[in-house]
Amino acid sequence: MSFLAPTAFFLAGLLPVILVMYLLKLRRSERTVSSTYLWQQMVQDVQANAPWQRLRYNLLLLLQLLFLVFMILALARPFTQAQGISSQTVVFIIDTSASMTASDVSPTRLEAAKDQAHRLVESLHDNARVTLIDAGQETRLLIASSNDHLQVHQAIDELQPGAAGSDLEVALQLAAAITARQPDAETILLSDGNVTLPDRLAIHGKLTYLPIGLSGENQAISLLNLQPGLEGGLTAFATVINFSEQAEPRRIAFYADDELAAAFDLQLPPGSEQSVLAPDLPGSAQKVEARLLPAGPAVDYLAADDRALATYQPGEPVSVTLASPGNLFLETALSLFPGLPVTQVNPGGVESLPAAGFTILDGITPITSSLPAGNLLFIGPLRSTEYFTVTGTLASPVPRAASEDHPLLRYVNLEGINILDSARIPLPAWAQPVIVASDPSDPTGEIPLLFTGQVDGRRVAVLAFDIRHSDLPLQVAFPVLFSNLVDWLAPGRSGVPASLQPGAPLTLLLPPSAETEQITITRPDGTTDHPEIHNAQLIYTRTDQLGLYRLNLSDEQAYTFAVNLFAPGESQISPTQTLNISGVPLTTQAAGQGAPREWWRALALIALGVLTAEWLVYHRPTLSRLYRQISAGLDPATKKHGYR
Amino acid sequence: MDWGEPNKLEFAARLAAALGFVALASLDRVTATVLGINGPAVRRHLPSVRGKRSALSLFEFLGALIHEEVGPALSQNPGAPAAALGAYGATTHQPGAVLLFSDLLDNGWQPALNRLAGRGFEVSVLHILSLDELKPELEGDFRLIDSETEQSVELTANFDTLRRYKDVLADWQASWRTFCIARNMHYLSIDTSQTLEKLLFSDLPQQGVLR
Repeated sequence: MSFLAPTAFFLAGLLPVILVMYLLKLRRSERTVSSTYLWQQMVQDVQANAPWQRLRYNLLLLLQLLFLVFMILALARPFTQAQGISSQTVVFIIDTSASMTASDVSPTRLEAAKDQAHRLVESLHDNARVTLIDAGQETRLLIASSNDHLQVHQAIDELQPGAAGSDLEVALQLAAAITARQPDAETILLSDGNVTLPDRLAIHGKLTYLPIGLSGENQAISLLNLQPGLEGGLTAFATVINFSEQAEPRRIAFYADDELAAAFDLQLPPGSEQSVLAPDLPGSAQKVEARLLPAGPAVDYLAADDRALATYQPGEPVSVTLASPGNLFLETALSLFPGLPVTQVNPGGVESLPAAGFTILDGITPITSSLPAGNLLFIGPLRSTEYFTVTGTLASPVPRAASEDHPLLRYVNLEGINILDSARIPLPAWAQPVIVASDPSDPTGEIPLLFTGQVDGRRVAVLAFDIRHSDLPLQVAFPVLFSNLVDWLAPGRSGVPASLQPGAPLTLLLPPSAETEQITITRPDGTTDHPEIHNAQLIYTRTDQLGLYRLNLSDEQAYTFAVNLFAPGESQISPTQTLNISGVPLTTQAAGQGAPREWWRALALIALGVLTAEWLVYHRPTLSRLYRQISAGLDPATKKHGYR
Repeated sequence: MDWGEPNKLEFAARLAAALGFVALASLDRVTATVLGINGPAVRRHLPSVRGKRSALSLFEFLGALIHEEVGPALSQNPGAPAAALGAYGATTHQPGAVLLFSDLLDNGWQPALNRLAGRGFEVSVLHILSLDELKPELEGDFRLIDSETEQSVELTANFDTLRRYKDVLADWQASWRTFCIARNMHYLSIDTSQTLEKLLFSDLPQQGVLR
């Protein structure tokens, strides 16, 4: 134990002062008594002439000296070194993604992270300013630079695991902003490492990553799809991934409206993915649930991805107009979609196209009339329209994905596709690129080959090249890409997707007849939300619970959609021991030499207790007299006889 | 003795008057002597009287103790009253009943009483103390000054001191009781808040002072 302010010990000079004042206390009041005969006998042994004896039984003096001793000790600020963090500014980033609910650390990773955070906060310096960031599906700043550690503990206790992944980029940038001007700052990241990290980060002070979690054993349902089967039944298609390092036996069971409909035993090799097809589920089922059940000594630490829901609603058929000079590939591809009545229009009829669910304009665009109502797919447009501008052609573009994980490119492999030429269309403001090609002549260095977006209340997709000028129709990618595009352009159930990732927004173009006040969404836990509606577009972002949501457009019109954790990034729960962010030296050790733990509060409290005791002792005769009077007043027997 | 509320001297005089009257009524000779008074203001001795008619002179003698200012006349010598008692015993020829009314807050009483008992006197010690002597209420640091000798004692009065004072007082009273019983004397500790009736009709007969 050492002292922060040892100069306070000079105050010990007051101790003899108290003693001397006691010895010199001459202010004795004189009192005449009948005789000092008895008093003299009494004080013979304590006779005041021996000063030290006068102090012998003086409880008050003892208490006063004790009080002073404790006060001096408190003022000297004793402290002990503890393990912990010595920084004055500490930012805690706690990962609350779905993988943090894994139970490989008892009870869950998030609870373990909370415990660790509690311990670290306790070890902090009393004046340390703490910031707490909840890094879940969205980043929330819970405590901003507060030295009220009690509040921090409460906020840590209130952290709840999310159902989605976690993007640490925002959290780390927030931490960087908070620590930017602090001389002695530390950022502590409590996570299992299954997060999205920024490529580069400039953070001031120390960044400590405390990995949480021990094991990555987990099996997950990564996909569940429903398709109409033969004879009115439904076919469920599920994919199960084993993330463990050994083979695991599992059983997948399909429930149609909570009734067990089919079950399959799987033997999953390590790191493998296995598809399961469950045909002939009852066609009347409102919802189909797939559950991963134990079928042997399997270890699965994450429960959130062992369950998936899907719904099937046939919905109303969507009409399609294909305006084309004749394209066998497109016609064949369209004919494969059940329930998609196609009207073919020759180039001559392009000036008077009817309104349709969506219209495919293959190499032709109307010149005099406006574009037909409904969603639009342009393929190899030759001239500009009101939505985009054609500035020229591009020879032999090499296609590549604009971003990973784009939903339209799901299961689409773009490698090895050759394109003869493409229209050069700069990306309009309303669109997002899906497939791009390098173009040195463009200021951005690339030009989109496929872009999509919503404009004027409709969905528009533009494929910049004529598919007949490429070998795309001969590739496996073509039917998949085309199917994805049709799904996007002709959402079978009025645009409500069958499944969403947790946290992903539901966007929906509402029919003009929709009564916006009546639209509600019932969440899996039974609560009801009113989604935001702007310009006939519904945007709903609170898809943070796993399960089935019900969207009520009106009394007759209702749709269901499921939110499933189909996120390999979250299901891959094996903890990462080191994180790589370029530009940041990352330590994985909690600070060794911790903040000094001060004891003055306890000492001051004891001093206060001693002072109270001193006061009570000083007033003891008065208090005991008071007590006697009160008890006498309460006791009727004493009252009767009078009190002496 | 001139102290306390009710006053010890006054209480002693009243008790003496009552007991004196009882004696006179039963045709006994009664004398009264005030011990430890120097000055001329008060008569120190009432010569032997007898019969109810003499009661007035006894009352007059005792009344003077109460109504006249005796304070300055009191002896400054702590041993003086006891010495006076010894002198009384030595000069009285016929031994009889002696009733000593005193607070006994002096030295020298026991040798004088021994001598009286030795000469065949039937001694009764009526030990009179006032309430502030029996239950002093003090709190704080005091210099206590003796009202008679002006000697002083310094002490810090607190719970402990008062408890020890009571112990000393109890021991002292007990030692007096032992002393008296051992010499076939009557001893009665009296506190001035007691009523004369209770003393005369209960306590004194019980102790054998009155028969």
